[in-house]
Amino acid sequence: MVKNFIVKARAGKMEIQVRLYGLLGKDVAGHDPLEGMRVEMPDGSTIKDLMTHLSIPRKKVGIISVDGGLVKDTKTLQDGNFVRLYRPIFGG
Amino acid sequence: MKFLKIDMSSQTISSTGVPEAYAGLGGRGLTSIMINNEVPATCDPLGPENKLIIAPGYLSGTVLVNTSRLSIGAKSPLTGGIKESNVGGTAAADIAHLGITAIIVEGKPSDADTLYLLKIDAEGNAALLDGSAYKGLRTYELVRQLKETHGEKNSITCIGPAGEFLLTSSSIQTTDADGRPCRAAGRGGLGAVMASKGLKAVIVDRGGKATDPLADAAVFKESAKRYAKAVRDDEGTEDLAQLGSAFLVAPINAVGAFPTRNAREGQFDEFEKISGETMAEVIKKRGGINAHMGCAQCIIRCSNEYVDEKGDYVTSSLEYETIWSMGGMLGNSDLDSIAKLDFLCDDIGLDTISAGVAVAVAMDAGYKSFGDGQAAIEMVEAVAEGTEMGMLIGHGPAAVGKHFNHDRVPVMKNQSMAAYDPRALQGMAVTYATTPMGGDHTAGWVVADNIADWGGKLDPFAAEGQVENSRNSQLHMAVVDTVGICDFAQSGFGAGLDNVCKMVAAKLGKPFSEDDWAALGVRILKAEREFNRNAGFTSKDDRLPRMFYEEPLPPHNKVVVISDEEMDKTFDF
Repeated sequence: MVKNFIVKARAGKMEIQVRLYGLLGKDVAGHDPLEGMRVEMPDGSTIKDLMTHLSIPRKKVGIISVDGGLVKDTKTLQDGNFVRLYRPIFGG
Repeated sequence: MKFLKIDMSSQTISSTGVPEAYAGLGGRGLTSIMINNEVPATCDPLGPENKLIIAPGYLSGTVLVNTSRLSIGAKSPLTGGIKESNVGGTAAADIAHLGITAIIVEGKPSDADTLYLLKIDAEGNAALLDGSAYKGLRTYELVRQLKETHGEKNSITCIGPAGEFLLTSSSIQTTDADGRPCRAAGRGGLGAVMASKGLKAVIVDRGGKATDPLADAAVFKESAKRYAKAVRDDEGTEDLAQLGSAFLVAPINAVGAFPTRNAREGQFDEFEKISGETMAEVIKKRGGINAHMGCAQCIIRCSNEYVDEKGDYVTSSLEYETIWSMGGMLGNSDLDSIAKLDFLCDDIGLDTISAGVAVAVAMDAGYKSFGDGQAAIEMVEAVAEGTEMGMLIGHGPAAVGKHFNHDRVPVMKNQSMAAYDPRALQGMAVTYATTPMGGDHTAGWVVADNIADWGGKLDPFAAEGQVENSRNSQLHMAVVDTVGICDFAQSGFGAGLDNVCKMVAAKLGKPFSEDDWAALGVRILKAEREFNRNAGFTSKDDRLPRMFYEEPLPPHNKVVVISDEEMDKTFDF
């Protein structure tokens, strides 16, 4: 486990836990509706990069949180972050 | 286009045309203006002078989708002020299909032990039947028996034991498209008003063919098509179908506005176990139903059928508000107990919001522990048993707080808050405090306006712009509740407010512009405010409990910052 982590870190990649809410996860391969998914991203990736990587159109996403705190899509990710993407709101 | 007047003092029924004073009105506009005109504001809400007015929306029964919304109005025994309680299902469409604009229940039987059923047949003829055999029945059993006697093709609007005990958190339940009494006119204790008039149930034949004619059916149809298209095209409609209103759990928790453990925190550490996503998965895995149609002519289908591990029915239309009131607000992460509590409230005829918050106050006062779902179930069951604790829960959080001498009671005008903490969404502070309805979230739902990622332009922690925004929302919503459009179908306004006004004009046979829409909102709020003033309300009643001004809410650690002066500007017209 530790060895894998060191290898990854050297390779300039990080592992992110992602959970998609609403119907966001429906078309994302490998996303479990309750558990989410683990995603490997290059160091320095932002939330925007993550959305591109998962082929999620920006307009389909509303609230974004990382480790429980609300962030903008320009936020740079760190290894081990728990990213949650929520849908926009509609109606009253 | 007629009024059915039911005089419960003499048990006589009369039918009149709609007076000019109420022309062009339906739903909340009709009930509120009529109550202000005809009910003495200082009367006993459970006495003969109060009226229980049951009115479909002005556009209910037409071809417009998502309009089976029923307004039930009266003086509230909970708030002591004006109340409109709004509910879906099929009754609004059914009543409108009979050409009935309002059912007005007046007076009170001299013998408090008598109980009646009001039956309206397919020709719109109404009769009072002896209901004594149904005394004390819970709503599911009541509906089962009434259908056996009167047939399946009826909507049934009824009260349970909570109403019969005259409890101020009692609801009026009505049947959904599947005939289950799971739709609730929950807020304000109207079940008690209905019981005080000796009425157990209103049975309406679903086969009416006397819908009010439209002045211009062709124009109406075109606008209705545009409206329906806007609803279908809206990105959020499918989410609402698959997850129900429960989709709100995760995002409201994310922004720290999910009142947890009697509003001690704004986030629930175990929210995942009760989120809409989890609920939908559990339902799917167990063979229940998501994207369930609960209301007549609905194209969204936000309802659901929740089942247990064996696949047996537990409850239907499990909503965000109930998942909050029986879940996060109690620190309860057990979805099965929440579903059971939803069923119990529907069956006993109790407002899930008020009942949950009543349990929360009891737990906060140390009566039971937070997180104890089983204790919550026992407390709600106690309501039907008529025990002392049951009576307290059934009267609501203020009664529970008084009993335990507890200082954390989240009520406004005696009615409990809903599933949005005002300290994390300042706009909701204004709505909760100032709406004539008491602690009411739908009266002026300004949540999205306060969340930047949802297109909101207001800072959720600042006072700036909040009063004006809540005012505008309240004025608009009063008219939405008057025409009978479902709150969740407001995506249809994407085709333009003028498109909806066109439909009103096409029924009315007279011009009805966006200015008329705005003016109607003002007229309704003015009537409601006037009634409350005459009932003894002052600006001191447009405030929140101290806890919201003094206790910072984690995780953002803010308090309500709207000043008293600003609150009082909300309705300075």
